[in-house]
Amino acid sequence: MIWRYAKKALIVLALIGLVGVSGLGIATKITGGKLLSVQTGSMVPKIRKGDLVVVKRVPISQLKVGDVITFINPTNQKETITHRIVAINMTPGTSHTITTKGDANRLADRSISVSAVVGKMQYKVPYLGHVLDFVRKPLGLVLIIYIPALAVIIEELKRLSAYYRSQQPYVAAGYEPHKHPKDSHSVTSEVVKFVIVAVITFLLVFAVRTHALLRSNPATLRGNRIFATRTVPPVCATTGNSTNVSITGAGGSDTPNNVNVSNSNNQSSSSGNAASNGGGTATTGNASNTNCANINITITNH
Amino acid sequence: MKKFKINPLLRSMGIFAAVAALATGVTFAALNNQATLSSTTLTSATASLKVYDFSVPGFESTAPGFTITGLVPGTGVTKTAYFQNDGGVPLAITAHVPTLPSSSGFSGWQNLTVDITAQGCNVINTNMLALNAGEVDLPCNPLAAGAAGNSNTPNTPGNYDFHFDVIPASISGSQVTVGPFDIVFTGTQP
Repeated sequence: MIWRYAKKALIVLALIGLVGVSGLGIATKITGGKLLSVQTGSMVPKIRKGDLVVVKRVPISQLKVGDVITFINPTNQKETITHRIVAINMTPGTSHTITTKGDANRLADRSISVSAVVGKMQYKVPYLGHVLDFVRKPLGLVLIIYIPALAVIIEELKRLSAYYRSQQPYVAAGYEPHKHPKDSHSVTSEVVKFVIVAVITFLLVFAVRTHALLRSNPATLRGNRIFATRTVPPVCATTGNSTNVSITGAGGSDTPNNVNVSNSNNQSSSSGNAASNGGGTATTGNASNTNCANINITITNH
Repeated sequence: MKKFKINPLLRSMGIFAAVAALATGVTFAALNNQATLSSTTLTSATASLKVYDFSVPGFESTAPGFTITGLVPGTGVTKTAYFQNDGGVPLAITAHVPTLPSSSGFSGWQNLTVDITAQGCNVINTNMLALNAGEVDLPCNPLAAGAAGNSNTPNTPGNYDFHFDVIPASISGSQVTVGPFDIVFTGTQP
């Protein structure tokens, strides 16, 4: 007897919860809102991990500093973040940006474009996000969905089997076939089942998760300095100029000094005869040098 | 409560369909969010990042920066910084230079290059212009909760090498001077 009453009380409580949740979900969808289960704790104490928040898209002009908004994570488009607005930056000629910060974070987030805003938080339901998150995990799927689903299917097969057995035409005259106590159901009970199924499916499909991104304090390396010295190329004997070669020798008008100047690395070179200058100094030969290569000078005294 | 008879076969078919829809919908929803599920295991609300200060010595939130002298343009100089994730969640670390410093002897902040490396991860090639424009990710993100770099043990998670260089073609004088400037590192829960 006690168990029957307890069972009824549980069913009533479950129904109240389901009606409440389904009402919340349906009202949110009708008004263009979104249900988000909070995954992290950077908005503590305002919003805690496991809370369910309801956000609704509002015109940008209605957003103000202090509002809690949900926006698409700039570094991961699959995620949304729910943080508080700390600044709205309106620069003429450029698109507006919004700076947000988690209440529990020491640093503000990177500024975001207004186009990334999903909506403004309207209200929250504590802990309901935990339930949704648990159902999304494998264990939750098995315990809350697959096993009950299997039980419902088995029970229904039993009922169906009992029904068809009771319809057999060859029962003995006077025999009253056993009537399964549950083969007759009220429309209400069937509707309740469908409502339960619909609500859970609705919540799981449409309630997405949101992150309250944690951000650390800054760690700063202060006063960095860099001093660089440009490397100076080696000094060339001549760079880009002619090399004048002076030869002092005992050449003669009939025995001129033969001067050959040759450069390495494909540089221009020249050679010539050192004409006698009355037994004194004889000069000739020019070499153009552009990249510090060695100049080889060969003197052959005839 | 008045009870209405429903055709048992129809009723069963309806229930089977509803159960199948539920199982399919729920499985789809769960699988569709699998990528995000991996990042939902965080339970701590603390995030703290520190950098090693040799003058203390110890991990602090602020430490004296690098002083690089005798840098040869085109060759560069490598300095190492050591970070500690002092919080309860993994942190993806970024670097940012909030204010460009004074400089002389070269032009174009993109020509002061910074290559950031950590053992076993891809090199992040950046420069002062990019570091000033936004936050640049460090390699090997995220740094695990509790991880701490160690100057005595190379390749420890938390050790990051910063290779500074000046592109020779950008130099206009014989001497390049840059600084002082701050590098701000921030960790974000991935």
